[in-house]
Amino acid sequence: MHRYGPVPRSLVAIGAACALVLTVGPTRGVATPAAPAAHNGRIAYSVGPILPEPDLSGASQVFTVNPDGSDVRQLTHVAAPDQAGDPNYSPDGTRIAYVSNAGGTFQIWTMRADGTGQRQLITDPGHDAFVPRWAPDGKHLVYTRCTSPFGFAECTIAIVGRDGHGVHDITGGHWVDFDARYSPDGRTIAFSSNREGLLAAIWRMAPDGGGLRRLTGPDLEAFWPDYAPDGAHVLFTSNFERPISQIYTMTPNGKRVTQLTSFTDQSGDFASYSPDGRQVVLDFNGALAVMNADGSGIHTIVSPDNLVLADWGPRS
Amino acid sequence: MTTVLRFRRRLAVVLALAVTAALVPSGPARASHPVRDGKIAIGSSSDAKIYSLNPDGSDFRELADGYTPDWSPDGRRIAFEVDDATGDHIYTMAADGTDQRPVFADQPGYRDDIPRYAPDGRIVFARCHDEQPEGCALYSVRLDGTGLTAITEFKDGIFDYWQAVAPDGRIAFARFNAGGIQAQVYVANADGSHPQAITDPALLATVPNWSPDGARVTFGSNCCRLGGNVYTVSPRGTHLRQLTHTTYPLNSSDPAYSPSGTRIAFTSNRNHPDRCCTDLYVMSADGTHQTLVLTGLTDVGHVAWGRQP
Repeated sequence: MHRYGPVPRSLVAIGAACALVLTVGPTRGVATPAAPAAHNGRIAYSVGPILPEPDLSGASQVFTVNPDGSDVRQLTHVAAPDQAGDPNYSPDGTRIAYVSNAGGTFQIWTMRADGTGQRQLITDPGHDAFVPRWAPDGKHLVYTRCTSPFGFAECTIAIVGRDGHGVHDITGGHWVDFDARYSPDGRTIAFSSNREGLLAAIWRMAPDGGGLRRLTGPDLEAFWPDYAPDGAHVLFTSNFERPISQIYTMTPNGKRVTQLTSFTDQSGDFASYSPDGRQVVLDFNGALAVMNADGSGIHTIVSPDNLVLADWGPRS
Repeated sequence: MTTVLRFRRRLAVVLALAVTAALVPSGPARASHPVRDGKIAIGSSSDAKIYSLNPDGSDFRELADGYTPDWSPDGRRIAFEVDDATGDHIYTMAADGTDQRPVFADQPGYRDDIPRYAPDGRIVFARCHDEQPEGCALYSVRLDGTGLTAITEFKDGIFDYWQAVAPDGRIAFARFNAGGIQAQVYVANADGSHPQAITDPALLATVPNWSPDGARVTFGSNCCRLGGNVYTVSPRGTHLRQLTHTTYPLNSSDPAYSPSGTRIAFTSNRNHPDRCCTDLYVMSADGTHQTLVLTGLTDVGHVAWGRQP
């Protein structure tokens, strides 16, 4: 029992949930050059602890479902104990990126939205890949690239072309940088990190790694950022009320931090916006749940009783 | 108990001499003997044993099964921790490893780690709970196991650990996970009041240790990560100095001032690019003259430097 400190709490919240409020949407008078409003399609999700912490021992598969909970389809069928999970729709909704260790280490895979054509996108010896997210132009993906020198986890934010070429790190420094997303205009990447000795905070940078800046304070223990489709807000999960996780929003500059949920005995976490920006899909104590973008009206879609990582696809 | 009485008698004598010296303006004042650096005690996690040796590596001896040794202020005894099937227990022993005595049995469900002698003869230790609510808080207890007193408050998810007691009783310790910060060194009064963080969160500071005059705190950086180094800082968090410059992914850590305050012992794996092994080093208190001390061990940790009795 003589490690030099207790195991730092993982970036991953395992916890509880309920509902809340704040308006997302057109802010003030200035018109954001918003992309044409996308319509909500199916929700892709995985069931299982497919993140480096705290546990990679459970099974995980990728599914899709209609937002009303109907027509559940299992897209991956990796043999246990291998895992597949954390799906992300391409901007046009025709493809899904996900991670799987069916090829040995955790790497990015892609498939068509119906689950056909599964292939491993990159081979990257000595590294594991997590949290793949498409760039708005669909030409490449940003992801979390981890190594474990001498048993100490270190992760960078990396980019890879959609053809699997051109892997390169855009962060460094021996920290755990994690769960990156592009802003809708493609000019910014938000991610979470333990930089500066914090348990977790959300940072942003340019896609080349420049202009690195922390957006959230230490207390929030913020992670899993997601930009609203109009770019006006960033959604994130906070472990501030440990062991309960809550969903927050802020502006892309880290201003107007607003708590959306007030869960009391359950946790909500790993939240992301629907394509039309009006709803949020999240893990609600091991269930796939949907709520309004103001935090109200949370309801469960599927209840697998395991960590759910979900992404809401566009209607194609 | 005998130890406490003996220590208190010694203290009384020293105080009396000091008072006498103060009252008598001139004369060859022999108020206190100069403190001489004695043996270094080290722990080895890989074989769970405590050893002692001279600072030049001579007279290396195995003392006991256990962890985290700390010297009594008079250099005659060592407090340490014994982990067995029933938990982590605090013991003391004579400097040669004989006369091992438990201070008290653990409270069920808790483990008691890192005993440190306080100047009043009590033992300050970290009591941890591993189930929810999980955490560690600092307590003190008399050597006969009575008078258990809380120093820091137990809070879910917060770990107060690696405490060190200054000669005037102030306590430096590492606090983990408070306010979203992974690790910081704090300094508090002997009763735990007025805890102040003295290190920048980015330093990931842990394992603090006091200079004998109470004017500096040395600590290891990059807790739980690769590439840590030994620093010193004032107890108010000013005048930070980096003493070692070990490069990533190697570490230097576990610093302990010598009782004279002129040297610091520490551990490092700098000679082992594969991080296989951690050695004992001694340097001057300003970071110069860093010297490897051969021990024959592959995993030196938990350094404490005693005075010559």
